[in-house]
Amino acid sequence: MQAGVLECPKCQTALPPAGLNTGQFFRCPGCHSEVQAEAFPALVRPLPRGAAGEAVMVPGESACFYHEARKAVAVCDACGRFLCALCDCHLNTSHFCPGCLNAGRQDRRIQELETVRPLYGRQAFVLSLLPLFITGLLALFLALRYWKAPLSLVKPQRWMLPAAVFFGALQTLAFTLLFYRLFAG
Amino acid sequence: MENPSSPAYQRLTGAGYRRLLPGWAIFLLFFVIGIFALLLRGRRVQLWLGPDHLLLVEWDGYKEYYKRFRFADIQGVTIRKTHERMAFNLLLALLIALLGLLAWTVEDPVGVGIFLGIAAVVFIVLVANTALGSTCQCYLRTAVQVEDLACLNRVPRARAALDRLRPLIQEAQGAWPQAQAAATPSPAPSVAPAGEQNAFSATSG
Repeated sequence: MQAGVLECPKCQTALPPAGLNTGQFFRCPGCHSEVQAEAFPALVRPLPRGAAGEAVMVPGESACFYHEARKAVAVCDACGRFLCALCDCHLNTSHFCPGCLNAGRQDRRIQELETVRPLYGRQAFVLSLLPLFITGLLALFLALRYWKAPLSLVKPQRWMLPAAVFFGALQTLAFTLLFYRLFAG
Repeated sequence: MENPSSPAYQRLTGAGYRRLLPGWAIFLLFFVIGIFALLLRGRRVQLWLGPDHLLLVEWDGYKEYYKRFRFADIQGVTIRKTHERMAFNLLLALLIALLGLLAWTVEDPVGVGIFLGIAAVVFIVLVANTALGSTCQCYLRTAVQVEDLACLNRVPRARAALDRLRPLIQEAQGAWPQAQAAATPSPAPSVAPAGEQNAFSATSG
């Protein structure tokens, strides 16, 4: 991936600037595929350089919790520790230390870092509709165990958990009655 | 640390699959393993617009996978036309011809009706496939990755999505750097909003 140029997705040839942002398809000079490309200012802007942190010059000056010789420039929004420029992790408008950032990602407390979310409602609902007896019990377990688990980020589908409880209970009841009739009756 | 209020997301046009196999292979497998071929479609992909980022969501049925692209980080979007629509249309046309041939050779009027009925359904699929527009692959580029936007698999859809994204990205990124604007000659963009100056339009006459 070359910096500052858009490339053809097929042959990785740099696309000619004359073809960009025209709203029309043009032929890639490398593979002759029809390509439309839109470039934005971030393409040519240099990436901000990371800071190493300034040294503490005056005795008693606030220092980084992780680096005693570095000057503190921010406070972690989660644990309140002082952080130098090197340890200060920006996330939108918040500042975190590396430890809290990692903990927040693992515990799913920082939503911006969440990359996977199990859909327990959907799992329970599908199980509740499979007529295999054990599936009804599993659906009930999943629905009740994860009743307060976060739902889908974009399509919450709140009806699925109550529906899973209803159909799971119905299925368990039906199978219980069936077994009772078969073996006890 | 916790963000109690989830950002509101708006659905962006298009839905597709991050495929395990190409579309034509799934179509052919349909005749071998039937409806189970749909299990090989892969993860379903959709795009959602957040307040300051584009969210790419993939479903495998029981989990959601997220990728976030801040508008300020998007460097470019590329759309490349593919020949998938033409290949699929060719396949459907062959199927219609085969069904027509079978209907012509069968003497039983019920059989003729069945074959012509199936041919009519396939013809409707062919017309729909043609009407949806050219197939394409759409890619989004940031400083560190090139992401395949599998849900924008038709040119009209990809262009509609780009039309919605463009003003948001331009608002987040501001104007083009002047040095770049002066250095790069290009024709005027037909799609940029009036008054916007960018590196590829600033020097056009």
